[in-house]
Amino acid sequence: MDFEARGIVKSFGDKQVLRGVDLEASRGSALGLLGRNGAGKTTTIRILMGIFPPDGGKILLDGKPIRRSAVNFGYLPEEHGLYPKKTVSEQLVYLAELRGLNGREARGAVKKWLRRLGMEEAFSRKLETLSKGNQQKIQLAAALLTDPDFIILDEPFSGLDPVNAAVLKDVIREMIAEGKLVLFSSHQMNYVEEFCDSIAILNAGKIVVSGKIRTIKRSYPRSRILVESEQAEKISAFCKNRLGDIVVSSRVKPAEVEINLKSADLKNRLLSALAGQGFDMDGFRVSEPSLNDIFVQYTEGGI
Amino acid sequence: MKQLRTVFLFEFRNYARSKSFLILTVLLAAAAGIALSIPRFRQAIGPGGPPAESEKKQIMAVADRTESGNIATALKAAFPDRKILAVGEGIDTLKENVENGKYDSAVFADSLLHDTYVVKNIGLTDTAKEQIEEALTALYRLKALEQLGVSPAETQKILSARASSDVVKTKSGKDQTRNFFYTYIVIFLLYMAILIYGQLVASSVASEKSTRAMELLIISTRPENLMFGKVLGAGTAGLLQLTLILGSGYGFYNLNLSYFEGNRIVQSIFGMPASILLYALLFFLLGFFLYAFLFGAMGSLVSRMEELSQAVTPITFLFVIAFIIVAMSMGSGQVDNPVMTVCSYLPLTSPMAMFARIAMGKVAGWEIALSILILAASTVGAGFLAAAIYRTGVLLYGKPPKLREIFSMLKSSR
Repeated sequence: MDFEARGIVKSFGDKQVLRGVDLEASRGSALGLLGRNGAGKTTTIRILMGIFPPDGGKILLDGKPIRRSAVNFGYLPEEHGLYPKKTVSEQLVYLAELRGLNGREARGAVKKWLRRLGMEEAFSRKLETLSKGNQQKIQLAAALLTDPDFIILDEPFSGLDPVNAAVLKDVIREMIAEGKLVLFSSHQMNYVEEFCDSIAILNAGKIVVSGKIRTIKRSYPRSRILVESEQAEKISAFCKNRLGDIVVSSRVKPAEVEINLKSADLKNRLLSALAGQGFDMDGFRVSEPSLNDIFVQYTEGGI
Repeated sequence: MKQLRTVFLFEFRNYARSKSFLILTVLLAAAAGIALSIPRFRQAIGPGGPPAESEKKQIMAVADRTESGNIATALKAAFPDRKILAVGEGIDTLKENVENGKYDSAVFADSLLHDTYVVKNIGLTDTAKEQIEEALTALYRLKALEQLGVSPAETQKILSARASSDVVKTKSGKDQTRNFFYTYIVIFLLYMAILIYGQLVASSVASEKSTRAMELLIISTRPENLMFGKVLGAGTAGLLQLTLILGSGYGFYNLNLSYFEGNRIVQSIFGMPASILLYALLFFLLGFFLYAFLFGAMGSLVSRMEELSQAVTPITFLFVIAFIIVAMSMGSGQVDNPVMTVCSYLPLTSPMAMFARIAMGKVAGWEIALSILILAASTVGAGFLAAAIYRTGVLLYGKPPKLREIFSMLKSSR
């Protein structure tokens, strides 16, 4: 693993916010940090960024304790703001210069990123005159100005419309392809599923499940089969009446039927039985839980 | 160092380019220019001024019940701008006539040593009573001396003789009648600058915190760079503003120099000795930065702009008290009193107190040096303390913390 966090603990006063958080991520892939509001996502991210220290635990980069001054970070904080009364270019150049670029490089990077995000016309506008989504894009530009190696985005999709979300997705995919470390938090599961290989679900200050999405999904029982067909009703009735020895239950959904088998290895028998009856099937697959299902399952019951 | 410069330039531009800064500077510079041109304007319109008012002399009726009968003549000499009308009316009639506007005022003299001055409204600056008393006293003495057989010429000589006294101060001494004004102006400017710019620094920090821009800043550079850059930026902008305003004043003063001859106040302000000017600048800078750091630190402790004024109240309060102590001591002329002596070493009060003592009191060189040393060390210390509080303040959201909590957090973050 290129990046690891081990047993991060943090309390604010009497309230223990993080109770031993473990995370890992590799270059060239994205890690999605998921959790309900108040689960500790932002606290975890702030600790990774060194905004405040953990009470305990280790943060390692390439196996060694992280030296933040040596890492080119890109950070998108959760709230949008920066300097509402200043022009976009002014504040972006300022932030780029603070991160070590000289004046010319800073202006170049600002222009490049505004163009990349389709925000060129915002160059000399005051930040507060932009819409929420466009302000979010300016924040994103601020995070990426220095061409960072380790990118941490806290709720990057909040406030973006589908078109802007697509722009952001493209940018993140590009970063991943360039072999960067990308970590982001969200509770919008569809975005996470699109380009995260790995996830970590944080609940009540602990990681309750983590790993590759594929592996997590496959860890669920594979005895639930989804058959897509216009004859869903008939198939369901057939299963109930004739296949009682292998089917536990079946449920009709619009244009599909969900069949629960007694065990996962019975799916070929189900397929040949249905095919033998000449049902018109459009699809036959194992029903995997969606990321949403997994999220709800692990985070239900409170923070 | 480069980052400090970046922060400084950003903050300086922030202030210097803001509309309120430009408008305030132009307005105050213009006001200083106009104020110092008033004597010129007045003289320009003076001679040809509104004629109707001056031509119509006020009427003062004089009822003389003394035996001498020269009171009207004496008052004519005392009030060349009024028309003196000798009348034989009684006091009640005079009152009526003043009331109904026939006369502007009236004098009813029952003896040389007592009279009644009747006027409709008693003006704030009306010195007529004193003038009448003086004229009648002179007349009484004249009569009395005449009765004693002194010749009118001798009498005149005796009455017009005046003793005169010169005031000389020793070389190292100070003339409080002169230095009071410039000392007061320097201290008042410091007072205004600290309150205005201190608040600006505090609100700049607080707004960065409320928009979370602080999180980006704190991962980009050291908190010392941010805090020092901010305060230096604000200080430079403030100093630039003051220089422009005072420069305008100085320019217009020189332009209108001839009109200020004999105006001791204005002359003393612009005739401030160079050494005092340097002390003013030094104490001004140190005091300004000391308070700006404290205001900045307070700004980083609040999460919302609405809480800011409450958070900076203790500092403002302390500062206003310091100002009042110094201003009152200056007013009494006792700038070296025990309270002032103590205040002139305490860093939060010394910028005003020690400066007032240097300008108006007796203070030894070592005392000044000690005070400056304490103040300078405290200012630098306050800068690092403010940076540490700023660093700690990032993670504080919710209620502003108590002083005790701040210190325990500072300790634990070390």
